[in-house]
Amino acid sequence: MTHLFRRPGASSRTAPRRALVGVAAVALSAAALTGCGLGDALVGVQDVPREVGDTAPVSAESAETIATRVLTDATRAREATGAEAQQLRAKALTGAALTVTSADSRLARAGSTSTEPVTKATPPKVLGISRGNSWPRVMLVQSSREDGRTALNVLVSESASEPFKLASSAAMQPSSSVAALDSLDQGSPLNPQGTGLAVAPKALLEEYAASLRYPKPATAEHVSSSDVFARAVRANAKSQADSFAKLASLRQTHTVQPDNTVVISLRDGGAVVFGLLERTDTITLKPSGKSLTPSADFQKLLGKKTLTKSAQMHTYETVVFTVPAKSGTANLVAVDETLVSAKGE
Amino acid sequence: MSPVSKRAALGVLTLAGLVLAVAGLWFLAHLGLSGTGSFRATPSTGRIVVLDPSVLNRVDSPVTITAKAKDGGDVWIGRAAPSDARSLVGKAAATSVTGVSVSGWRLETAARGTGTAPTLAGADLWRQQVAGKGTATLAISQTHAPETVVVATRSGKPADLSELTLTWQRQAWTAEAVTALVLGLLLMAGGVAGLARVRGARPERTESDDPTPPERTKPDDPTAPDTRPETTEQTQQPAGTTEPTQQPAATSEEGRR
Repeated sequence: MTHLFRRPGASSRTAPRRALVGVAAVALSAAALTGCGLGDALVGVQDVPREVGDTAPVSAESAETIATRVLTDATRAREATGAEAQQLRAKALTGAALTVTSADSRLARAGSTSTEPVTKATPPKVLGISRGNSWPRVMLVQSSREDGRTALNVLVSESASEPFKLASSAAMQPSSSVAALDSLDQGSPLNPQGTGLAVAPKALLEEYAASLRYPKPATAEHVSSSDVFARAVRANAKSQADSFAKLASLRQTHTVQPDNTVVISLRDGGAVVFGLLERTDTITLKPSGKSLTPSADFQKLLGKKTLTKSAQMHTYETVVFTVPAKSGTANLVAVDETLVSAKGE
Repeated sequence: MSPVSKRAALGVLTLAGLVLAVAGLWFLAHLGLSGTGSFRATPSTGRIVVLDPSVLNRVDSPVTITAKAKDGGDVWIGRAAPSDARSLVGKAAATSVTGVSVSGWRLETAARGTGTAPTLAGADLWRQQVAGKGTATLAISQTHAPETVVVATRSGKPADLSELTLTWQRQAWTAEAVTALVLGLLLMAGGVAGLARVRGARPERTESDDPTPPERTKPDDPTAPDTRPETTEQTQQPAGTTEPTQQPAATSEEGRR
């Protein structure tokens, strides 16, 4: 008789299969969990954070340290003499600052109307740092001179391997000021083309240079030429020409040195523009004049007591302007001049 | 679920618990109670060492880089933004630390580039620099991630390193290791207990095993022997009572035989 009694579910063929299915299910579950990143989550592994490239490349603290070092080195370089001087200047200076300082130091000390950018014991103040990770990188630094005047300095790092060096420096004009830049953490954009400014940097410097010309200065449309420096330059030129009277003529030109222009943006959309002009004073004896006795200082510069034909002097003028956004007039806020060469016969 | 399936599942459970417990114990032994994991390597000579964000900034925990130079030599470490370090180092010959291997607690490295690196210490792009004779240590907090670290000498020449160590500290790792150990032990205990219980159950009967058919009895014949199999289950009879029995309807004996 057929056995009527059978344990429910019992089967000699399906039991091993179900065991295998169970084991496989556990293994697959473990593999799925692992593939879902459970391991990384347990360890705390995360994606690499993205690098931000639209802020200042150096911290405010680092900038202060760099500025102190650079201005100290620049002072040492300017004061150095002999074989050491060239090495120190190459290490600490670049751009207009190197050009000016590398000129005949004897002439510079004898005839300069400027005060050199010597830093007092007061630590310099970083006003702005260029924004972004590219090069060149720029810092705008305010410092105090021995005579108490405030100076504006531009520090530039040309490439990753080049540390910051002093590129330009000028003493602020009385009653002048510079509007705020963006925060040191945010950084301030460089604007070499002058996009969005009332006047492009190149045109600005050329207009100002033309307005200083003697004789026949041009009228500047986008920059005020009634500042103390401009008036003094024109007045001195006229005074010198008048002193020559009928013996000689004076011609004075100012030429823009374009490779030394630095433009850093202000928070309000304007910009601070650093530029370098080379002034050339040419004295030419008139046919009626047989000889000319220049001033004692000029004699010292020339190494001669009289002139029989002509003389020429070259002076570097470091000029700093604030330029408004969109429209308005640029204004000179800082200037330095350094006599770099003189010759005559 | 059949006993075979049960045994298989419990076996897997026990094995999983064992693996988990061993893993937890192994990690605990290496990480300690502070959750500190150190990975080491001896970089090849003649190359500066570069540690990229893919290693330094994958875990949101502080990491300490320690470089030991042979014979008390100079060693310098600098950290910078990745793009800055890349711009400075360029394609100079470098040993790049590409990852870590937990199995051996070592750093994975790869050689790249040729040529010499420029002077490194003088550049104004380093966020932090440390230097020393024989050893130098730099700690990264992850606050300014991502960052790249370069190990060399101040002049940019490769440092002759005897050992480079990266150490992370993360308390959660210790907690996870302990959890794995405890969970693994519990799973093992559960699996073993379950297996023991399944083995202690009565062995099953099947048709093919029992050739003797059970005796047939008439359920209502009171004179027939009681051939019912013994059962372990018993019901407790209250004292003073007798088990009620079903009283058959009145029948004649001849009708039943």
